[in-house]
Amino acid sequence: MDLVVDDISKTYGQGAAARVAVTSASLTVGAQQLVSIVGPSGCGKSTLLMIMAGLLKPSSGRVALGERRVDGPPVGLSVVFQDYSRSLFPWMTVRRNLTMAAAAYRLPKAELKNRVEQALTSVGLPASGDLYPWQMSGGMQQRVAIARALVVEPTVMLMDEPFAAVDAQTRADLEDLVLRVRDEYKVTIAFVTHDIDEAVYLADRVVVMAAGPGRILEEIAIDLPKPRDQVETKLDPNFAALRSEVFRLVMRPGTTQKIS
Amino acid sequence: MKTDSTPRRVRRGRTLGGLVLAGALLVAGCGTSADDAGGDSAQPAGSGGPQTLKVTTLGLCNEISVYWAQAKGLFAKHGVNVQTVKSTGGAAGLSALQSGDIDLAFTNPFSTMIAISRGIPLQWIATAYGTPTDESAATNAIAVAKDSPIKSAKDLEGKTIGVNEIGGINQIITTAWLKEKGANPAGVKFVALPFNELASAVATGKIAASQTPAQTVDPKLGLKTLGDPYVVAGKGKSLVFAGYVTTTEKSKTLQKAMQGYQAALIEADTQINDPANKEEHFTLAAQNCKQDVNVLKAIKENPYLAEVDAGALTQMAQILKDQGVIADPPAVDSFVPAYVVKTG
Amino acid sequence: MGGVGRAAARVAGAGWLVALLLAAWEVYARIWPSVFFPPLSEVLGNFSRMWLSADASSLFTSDLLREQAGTSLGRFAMGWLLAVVVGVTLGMLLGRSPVASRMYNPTVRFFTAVPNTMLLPIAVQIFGITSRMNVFLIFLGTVWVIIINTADGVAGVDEMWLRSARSLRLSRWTLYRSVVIPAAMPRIMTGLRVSLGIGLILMIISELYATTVGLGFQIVVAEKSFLYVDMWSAFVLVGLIGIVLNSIFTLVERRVLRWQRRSSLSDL
Repeated sequence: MDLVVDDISKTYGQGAAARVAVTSASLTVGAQQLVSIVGPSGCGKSTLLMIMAGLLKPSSGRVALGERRVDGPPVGLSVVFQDYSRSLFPWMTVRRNLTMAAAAYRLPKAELKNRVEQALTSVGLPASGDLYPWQMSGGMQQRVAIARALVVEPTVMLMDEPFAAVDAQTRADLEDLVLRVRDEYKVTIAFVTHDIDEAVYLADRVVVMAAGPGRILEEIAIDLPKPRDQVETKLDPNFAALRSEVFRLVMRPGTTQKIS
Repeated sequence: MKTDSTPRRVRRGRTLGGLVLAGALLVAGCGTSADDAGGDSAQPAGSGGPQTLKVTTLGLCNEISVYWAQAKGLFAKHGVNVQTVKSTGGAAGLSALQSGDIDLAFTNPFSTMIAISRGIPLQWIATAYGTPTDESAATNAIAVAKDSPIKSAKDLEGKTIGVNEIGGINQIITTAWLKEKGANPAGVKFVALPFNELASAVATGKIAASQTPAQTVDPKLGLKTLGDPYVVAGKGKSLVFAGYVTTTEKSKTLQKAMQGYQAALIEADTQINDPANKEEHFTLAAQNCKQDVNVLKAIKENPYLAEVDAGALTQMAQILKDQGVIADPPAVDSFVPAYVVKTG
Repeated sequence: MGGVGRAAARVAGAGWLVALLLAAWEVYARIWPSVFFPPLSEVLGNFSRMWLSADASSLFTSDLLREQAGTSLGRFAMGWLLAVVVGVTLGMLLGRSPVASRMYNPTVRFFTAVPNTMLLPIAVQIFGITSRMNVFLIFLGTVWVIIINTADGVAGVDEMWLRSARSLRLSRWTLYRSVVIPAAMPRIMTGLRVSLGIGLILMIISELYATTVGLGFQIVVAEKSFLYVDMWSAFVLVGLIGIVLNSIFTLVERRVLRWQRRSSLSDL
């Protein structure tokens, strides 16, 4: 199912205090694609993602998931937030956090149980359902957050700088985890990051945004071979070229030049 | 006094229990430590000028004898300098007496005798006022609702009677009244209510009866009296309602001042009881107890006499014994010094 | 009998301070004897005669203890639990609704400022000489602090948790039960702890007048009869009840707020 963003603008405040966060943004995330949204801080990439998630109302424009307009958190769409410690509920066990995510779906008990265990297995945390989030490391907590997103078997998963707070090693593991569950769950992913390597490595397409006002600058198709590999892919000269192009766009939006 | 400060203290604390204990320790500690500081309130006798006596007052209109003696310079005339100290109740007065903060406490004979029996050495120096002997002079009442099925003491068995304080003189006298009237007081419950609530609690049917001042039994409120329990308990004799007590020690060391104190009151009472001074006596009482003078004039007064009626005290000791409040009440001789002027 | 005091103090977790105070009490009362302030040992001896029995079937409590403390604690439990239910409910409404909180906050603040003892004559007028009067006073004295703390706690729930909950499309009921209340629980518990202390004090104060039974009534009877050892025994009992209730509360609080303690540790 396609996720279509059509001419979205978002202005905070009114009158003299008005601040334009995003202006005239349009993009489409095709079914089972992974689109990275990258840009400098203040470019409105997180705002755009929250609008796509139905958690924020746009000032104008519309978002549609398949045929249905998004005007609130839609069925079949999961969000993974940046700050796992504040998005998981610390007063619940991991299992309870996961079942809570499916509460609105009214699944049969046995089905729910299977899905929870499967999601935990998918993120590499089988048999940790009885732990509390605060008993886990940051990387493990973000895995739980991903598992929570997977429990409802979403068609779309929106991830807002999910690995900004973990160390490099863990980050690489989590990136590969995202690619794996994309295939496993056949899920469409929009992935916001400020890390250019990460954006290129993960994506089928990179959407580059610029600040002041927040807008979409360019979309770049990433035609690197799959499956991606942390060593092989990053050694590929095409990766270096794409990375440089994105880097130029992000750092010096005026001096764009198209490669390839 | 404890009641106001404790909640705030606990609000800050973590362990309530510890603080209750700590608070209690503090309260008691402060009370008793005044022993050292307050002991000098009375200068040694014979050091020249008049002896100063600190006397507790509840600010009642009935305490007219002290107001009068003070206003007329009778204390000075008898060689004492009296300072009144506001107190919250008879028991608080006795506690202040024990700590040495004051020299004379305004209290009643029952509290005094009970305290003595618990090992608090007290001496009765002067009476403030007595009780009426005739229903026509009633100053107190057992108030019941006018249309109440309660017609006699017997009807109050198993009921609840309001009094101003638990275990106080009014409860003891009401119990004596019940007995005299042939009722069994064992099944009667007493409940403490503020003075100004006693009549209205009966009028609104919350309690069956109240022991209350006679003037509050207002027919307009739908109340009537079953009689003055003090008249009944006195059995024809005027009992001692209130008076002034000191510690056994001070009754000896300050004998001269104590004698002077009683003498001043006796002289004051003579003047108060003189019909020629009627107007002035009500004016003075009204000033001191902050009442309307016309209201005071309409109220019947307890008889004022500062002499100590040993017979009445003996009779009251017997009441305590009969009710089992204390098994062995003190003999009157043991707590009224020989130098005190007596009657009866 | 000192063992009871010691065990209780250990439970309170402030053992050394309590022990020090108790020792100071004993020493002070021995050096400066006074009927008003009997030594601790004498009070504890009397305590066991007054409040304890040799009967195991009644958990070694005396008839007097069960009757008087039972009545008092029954009043306390009713008043306090009612205040918890009403206070948490109203606090949640106030905390989630800016309009309601603007309207009612002045009311709440006014009532917290009224000394509860002033309400006694009014309570007697309304409820008469019944336990409902005591329950009412305990309720009224404790409910405000619960309302304020619940409202503050609910208003201060981390926006991220709410956004997270919204993305999960939780129903309103589940949102409150599973997210808002647990997230506000640290503040709610603070309010409950404070109200517990206030409630116990009011339990005693409300029994000083207009009642014929209860621990407060026993204290009055003892004081008016100059039975100061009895009075102090009742104080000690009230203190022990306070320590026990506080300890139970601490256990419950630790259990309920386990996540909060640990997460703050892991932040280090």
